[in-house]
Amino acid sequence: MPKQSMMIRVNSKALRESIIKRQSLASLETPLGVSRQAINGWLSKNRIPPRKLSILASELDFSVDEMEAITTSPKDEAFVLFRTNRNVAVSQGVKEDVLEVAEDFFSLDDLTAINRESIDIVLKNEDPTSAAKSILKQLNLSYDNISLDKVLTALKRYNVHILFYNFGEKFVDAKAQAVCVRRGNKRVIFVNSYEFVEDVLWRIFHEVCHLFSNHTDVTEEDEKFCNEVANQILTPDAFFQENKSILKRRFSQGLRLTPFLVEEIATELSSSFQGVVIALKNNKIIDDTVSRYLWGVIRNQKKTKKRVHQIISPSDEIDPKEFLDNLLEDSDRAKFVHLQQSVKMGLILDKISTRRAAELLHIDEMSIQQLARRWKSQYGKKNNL
Amino acid sequence: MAKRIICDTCSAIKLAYFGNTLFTANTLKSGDLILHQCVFTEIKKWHPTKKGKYKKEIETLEKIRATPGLRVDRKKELAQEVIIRKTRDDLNLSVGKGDITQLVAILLHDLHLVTNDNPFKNLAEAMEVAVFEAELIAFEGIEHKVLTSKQVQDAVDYWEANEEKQASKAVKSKLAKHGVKYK
Repeated sequence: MPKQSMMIRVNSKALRESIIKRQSLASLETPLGVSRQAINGWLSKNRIPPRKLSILASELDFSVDEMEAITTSPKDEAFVLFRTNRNVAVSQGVKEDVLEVAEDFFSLDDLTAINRESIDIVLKNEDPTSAAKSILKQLNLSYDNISLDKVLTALKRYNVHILFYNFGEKFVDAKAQAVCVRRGNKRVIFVNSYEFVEDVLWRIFHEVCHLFSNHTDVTEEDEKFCNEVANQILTPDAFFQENKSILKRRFSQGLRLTPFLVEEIATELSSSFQGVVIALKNNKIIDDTVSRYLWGVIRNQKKTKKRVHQIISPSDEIDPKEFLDNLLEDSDRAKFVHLQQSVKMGLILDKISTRRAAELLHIDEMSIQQLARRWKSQYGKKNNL
Repeated sequence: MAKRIICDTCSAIKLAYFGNTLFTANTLKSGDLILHQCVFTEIKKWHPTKKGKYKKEIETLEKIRATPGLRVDRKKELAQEVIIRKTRDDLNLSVGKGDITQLVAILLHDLHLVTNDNPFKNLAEAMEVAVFEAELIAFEGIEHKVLTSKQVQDAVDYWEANEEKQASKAVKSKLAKHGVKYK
């Protein structure tokens, strides 16, 4: 039985109205097992034991809307912004799923939270090139030192976390590539784990642009703006203009060599193959023939290029429990498993239910319980508990 | 006496180690044990190797079957979910949709809960639901003389060998009174 009766905060006005509409307070003494004075006491303090509220809701047949009004306390509104392929509309259900995972992450991340700076940059009426410069300056990065590790570390300082997550079929059906969620000073960018590894940085900078621009709802213009900002960060026009004559010469040495040249530039800029091809075309370094040839190469590459889920999800042959355990110990892949690390910490500290952990980590509950036991004992030994 | 519902595979598998002894009606004075459908849904998802490992226990559970009639009126269910989610957020716990749906059924059918999962246990207790650990049921089994200490000790050794979640300190000390020890 409970050690003490916990109370939850309620909107007394809404609760009183919902009760009075149906019955007198005196008639509730029996089902609630308390006196009318006690009920009045809860109402005057805006607090009620959740079980008593549950009995009231059941006895008086409260609607969901009434319950939402009764239990709503002022809270920062959460914003969910999606980037989808060809701007496919995203259903409310998918948004709710995303928000729920984000809220889980926010509550688990609090376990290891440190004082972090808030974003003090708001992009307004800037052209994409100067917006790209502002973002890089704020993150203390420059065009020639961008890497996924550095970007993740820089963003973390501003309470922006990047999570790679498989939202399952619904997310894939919506062709969702990335999504950002903002509540108060907490921000999360989810990158669909079905994305190609080489596209990840572009997706992140696109979402970072939304966050730094304080977008709460995105228009087509906003999308185009953030696309261009991401382009200017990873494939800046300045680079292609400065090196235009050399690049033009190299790209005229024969069609078959061009994919290797593109790869070389993509590696230097930490960009994707596709991003470089677009930049080369926009900066008039390659003509239509070369561009068409390279787009053919891109289509062929799609079959062989590595996707994030191939790094972080087990294949059918491997025991998922062992895979996950090894994954979380692997420093090379740590950047892709921030959410998984938070869930692990939540399990060690008993902040997340094993069923929820199983849902988030996409493995069965019993395996999670075995892993939790192992992790708790390792954590206990490490911390001399 | 209110019935006690098992909603997680870990507790169900642990208690099925003893066959259907603990699941037989009127065996335990603190309330009969019943199974939620989700236990079977979860087991279905298991890897064949694991299904093979727990074959005996799964067969026992399949004979017992899930308890029907736990569905609740959708409108009532949604209203209750709002209260549970609010309580979960106030406690800063991460408890998923599945657990919340089961907790609604527990509240509306006046059931007790069997689980070893601490966040779910904390949430259920905040909603004034009585919570029992699987090992506590085994302890009751010894007390009511339907299980022997030796049987429970064998079970504990087996659970430990399989790295299953351990009982709380309080329950371990209760079991120790009957000579059941953890390594």
